[in-house]
Amino acid sequence: MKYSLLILAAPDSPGNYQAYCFAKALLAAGHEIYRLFFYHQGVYSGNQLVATPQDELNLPAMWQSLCETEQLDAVVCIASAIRRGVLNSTEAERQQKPAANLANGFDLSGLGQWADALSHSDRIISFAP
Amino acid sequence: MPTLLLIIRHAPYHSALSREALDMALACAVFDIDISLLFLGEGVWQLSSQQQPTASKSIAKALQALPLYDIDKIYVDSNSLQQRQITAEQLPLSCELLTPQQLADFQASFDQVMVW
Repeated sequence: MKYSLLILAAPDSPGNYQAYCFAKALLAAGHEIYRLFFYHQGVYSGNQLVATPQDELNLPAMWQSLCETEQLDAVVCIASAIRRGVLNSTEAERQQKPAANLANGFDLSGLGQWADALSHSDRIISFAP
Repeated sequence: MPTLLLIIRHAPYHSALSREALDMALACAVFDIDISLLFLGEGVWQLSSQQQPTASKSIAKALQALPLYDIDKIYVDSNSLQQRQITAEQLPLSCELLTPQQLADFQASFDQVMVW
């Protein structure tokens, strides 16, 4: 089946790790992930500047690695991201900010991408904060 | 097009979540998704007409934009209202009340559900 996941939880909150584990389990069970959509505090998952202590999980790095390995379509909601300081270089320039921090493999885009995922997925699962 | 239910269980104002839930509902409507909203648990506080926030925009006022986007299928759990002593007459939007017994079948009648 085709699944799309809506991740609202911040990377240091249990919902985010649950989403990650669920994504891996889906792929292991042979399902397809149509899209990952990071919204609300989930947008922090796309911040490549996160450096967690050695004995803690670095969810942004884990998501980046998973998306790369499995070629997943990972969208970070642009409106949610900008107001929280997660920017790609285009937006950093547009917003006149000194740096960009969006990890490779994540696309900044709008809610239309989630609307599209709704119409193309058999199931959608939300991971609340 | 699948039918979508957005279940709102969170109180307003503790984060931008309420505002972003509304943005999501409006975006879905713009993309012609048949969306309904259900306010449940702490979520019913979003409908309280007594809101006078000082540090953010009023959620109750923002919710009044819903009918402008043709989002008129708005439901509230009557038990959640009763537990918080909010009467249906105090609601700023026209909502349909559901009893707890109706909730399971109601939720099952949708193709897709988001729970926040």
